[in-house]
Amino acid sequence: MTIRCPILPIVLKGKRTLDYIGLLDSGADVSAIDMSVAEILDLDLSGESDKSEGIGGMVETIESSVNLHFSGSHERFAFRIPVLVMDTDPDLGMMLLGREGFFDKFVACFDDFNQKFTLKRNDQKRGRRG
Amino acid sequence: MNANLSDYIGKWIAICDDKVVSEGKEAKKVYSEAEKKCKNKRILLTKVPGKHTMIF
Repeated sequence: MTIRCPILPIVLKGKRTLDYIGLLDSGADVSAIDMSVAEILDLDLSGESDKSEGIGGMVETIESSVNLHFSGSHERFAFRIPVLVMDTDPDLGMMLLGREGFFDKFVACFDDFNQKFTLKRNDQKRGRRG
Repeated sequence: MNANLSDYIGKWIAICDDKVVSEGKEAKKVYSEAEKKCKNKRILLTKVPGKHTMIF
């Protein structure tokens, strides 16, 4: 069985460093990570807690942030990204890379027919419209 | 790296030097075991998804 989905090898840096997998999720408002992985990285979990809604229902979340690194074919990227730490059972097992803090930095193109995607840094400056 | 991970579906696995060095149901235990086996090496932690991935 072969599973194909838009995943990206990433490196997460908190107090520890971990090689992990990011799933490009344009349907997610923000990025999200499992509580167990946040604890391994020793992320700050003192942020505001709330409930977030997904396809499967509500989940408890805590606002935090993590340093994210990944490499493309020509470039390396490193930036701090806001994350919701979610306490779900079972764990998701990947980091969801959502719009705020991730997609808003890139122009993303999904080519499922050829089973690939591309991310280009978005250098456009947000300005006033009209 | 290409690998057949079908034996680990639904489980967390830790990979070090292109080998699965620990596996189980709890991420922290899997990572902790891998840390002991792979001192000062990079560890890739992930959970092997099932046939269809649904986001919570």
